[in-house]
Amino acid sequence: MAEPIVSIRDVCKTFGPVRAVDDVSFDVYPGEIFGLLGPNGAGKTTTIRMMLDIFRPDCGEVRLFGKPMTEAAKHRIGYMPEERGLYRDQQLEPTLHYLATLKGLSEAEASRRLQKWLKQLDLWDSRKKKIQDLSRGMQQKAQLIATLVHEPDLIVVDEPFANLDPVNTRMAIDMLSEQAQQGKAIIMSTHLMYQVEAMCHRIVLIDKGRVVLYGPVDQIKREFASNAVLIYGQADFGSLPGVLEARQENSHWRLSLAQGATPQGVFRALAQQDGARIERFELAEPSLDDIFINVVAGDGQAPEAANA
Amino acid sequence: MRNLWKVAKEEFNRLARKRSFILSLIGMPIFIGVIMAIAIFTAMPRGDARPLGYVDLAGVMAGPVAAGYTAPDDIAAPVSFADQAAARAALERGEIQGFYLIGEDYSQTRKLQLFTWDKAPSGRARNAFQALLAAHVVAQAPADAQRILLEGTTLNFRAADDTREMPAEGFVVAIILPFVIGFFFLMVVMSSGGYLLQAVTTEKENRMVEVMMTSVSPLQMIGGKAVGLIGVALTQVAVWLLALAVALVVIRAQVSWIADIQIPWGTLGITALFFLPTYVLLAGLMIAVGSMVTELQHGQQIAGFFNLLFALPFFFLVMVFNNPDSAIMIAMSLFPTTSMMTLAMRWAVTAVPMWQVGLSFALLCLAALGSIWLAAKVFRAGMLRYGQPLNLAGLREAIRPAKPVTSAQGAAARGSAKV
Repeated sequence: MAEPIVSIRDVCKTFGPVRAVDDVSFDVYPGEIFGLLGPNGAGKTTTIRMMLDIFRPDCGEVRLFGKPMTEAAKHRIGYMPEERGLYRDQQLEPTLHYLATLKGLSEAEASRRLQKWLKQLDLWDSRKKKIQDLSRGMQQKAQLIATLVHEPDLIVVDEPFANLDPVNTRMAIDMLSEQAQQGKAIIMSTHLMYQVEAMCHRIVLIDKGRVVLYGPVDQIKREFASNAVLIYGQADFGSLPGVLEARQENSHWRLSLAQGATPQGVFRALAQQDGARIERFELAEPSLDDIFINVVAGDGQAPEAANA
Repeated sequence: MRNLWKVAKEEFNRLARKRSFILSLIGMPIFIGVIMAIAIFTAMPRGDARPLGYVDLAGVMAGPVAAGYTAPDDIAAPVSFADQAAARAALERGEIQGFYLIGEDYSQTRKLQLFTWDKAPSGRARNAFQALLAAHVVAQAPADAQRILLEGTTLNFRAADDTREMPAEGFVVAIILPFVIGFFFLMVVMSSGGYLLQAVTTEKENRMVEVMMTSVSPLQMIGGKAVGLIGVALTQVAVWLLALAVALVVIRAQVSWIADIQIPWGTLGITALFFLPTYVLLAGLMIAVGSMVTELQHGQQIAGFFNLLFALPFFFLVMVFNNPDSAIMIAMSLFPTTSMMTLAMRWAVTAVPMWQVGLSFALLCLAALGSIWLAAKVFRAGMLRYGQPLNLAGLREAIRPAKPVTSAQGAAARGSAKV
């Protein structure tokens, strides 16, 4: 596996009496979209700020591109914070131009790239407008441009789809996915679990400042999967060997399996049953939403393997 | 360094385009223009050009005039009348503005009587008569005494250490100049104080801090802002000085005494040397205040206190003249916020030792650099406090040297937290 672009080890941060981040560790690799998840006030933003040297950690170590943060490394980072901000009384294009040149682009290169981005995101006609005169969605797109225009190797986006309509959300998703395909590391903090499920390769879930889940999305879902299968179709499910309970849920059946019974055994038994009509057979994996609620609102305990 | 200049350029452009800055930039030249116009208007020969008459009952005006006397060329010479009736008739005919009666006892009383119609004669006419009278009165004295009596004495002021000399004509200007400089500086302080505060509060209010901090370091950002703001202030001062210089050149042709002004280069030199670090100090302090507060209005209240620190020498004016070498004056010459103004004022009235100038400049430069360093530290600590100002404990924490953090320390910290 490639060297991690971000390596966070045992970082902690205390504000007054509050331990905002406690012993958090994770790595982010090139080419992956990494989900940084957690409920409000869990310590996600503080972790991001420590990662980007906005806050200094009280303990632990942050390494970006294999080294502690340097001024040169800042040019390789694109950051869209949750607290959206641009100089509201300034014109759009000069503001983006200024931010792009601060990231190391020459004046000419910044102008060239901005022209491309502004046109791509339908902001070209609004380039002379003051930012305060743009809609929130347009401001959000402007933020995305400021984050990506210098072609960073590490992209950190906090709630990147807030304020975007479905069309622009799709465009933003495509843009971020494209960046990941180009080998950039993307850290995405969001509450939209279905977006995480659709986009992220791996996640870390922080609750009360501590890591409670960390690993590939698929693996985490498997770890949280109950011993059950979902079946679309008709058959005598209750008589199948190893099935404790067959319950109809909307257009499918949920079969709870006895200890020691396997989905493969159920599938074989179904195939031998006369008159059985099976349209779809799948493992009953929980959604990330379910896992999130289970871990955060439940007892907070994750299966050993998922938290490894 | 590149980013520092980028921030500086952006800050300069942003401020230089502000309507309030442009108004203040051109407001002062307009003010100077108005003052200049008033000066020219007052100095211009105008009003009644008719002469004054006199009736000389004492015979003072019968004798010769002093050798050095020259009649003014912008008004007719005073006219002599044989008696009061003739003078009164001329006054009624409007040939003269009025007439003086030099009584028989003039030699004893030195009293004159002025007769006018319905308004007082012009100053030029009265001056012309008094000059003529004086020329007659001193005509009998020896030539040297005549010159002294007519022209007065010339005093040259020399510093006690023999390093500086100031002719009498330049003394008034040398005294006034520090006040003019002080006035200009306070104008700069007050007009740019708001910009200096805004420099940081703008970043906070626009929620730009996080984006900026992932592009530049706090020192680059604060240093850049300070440089940009200093550029704005220097532009302002340059435009104002240019307007003043143009005004002086124009007025010089109209007002004769302006041409006689001797420029006190020492005071100007001290000011030029001290202005930049003093402004950097102001910028650093204001930016630090802006970093501590969450709203501009709150910052302005604190900034008022700092403005006072820079204006302090004006409250000690009497002491500057009465006891310019007192301990308080020396202390204020060395204290960074007051050194420029105090030294400029003392320079006009006493011989300031060079060690004081050197030490003061060194302390000022250190304070200026320290203020920028402090501002960067405070900015870092207070930059993400959107709803909560930085308190004194936070300030103390901000300026404490950062301890290096390692994983081992992290583990130790975790251990102690669990205990």
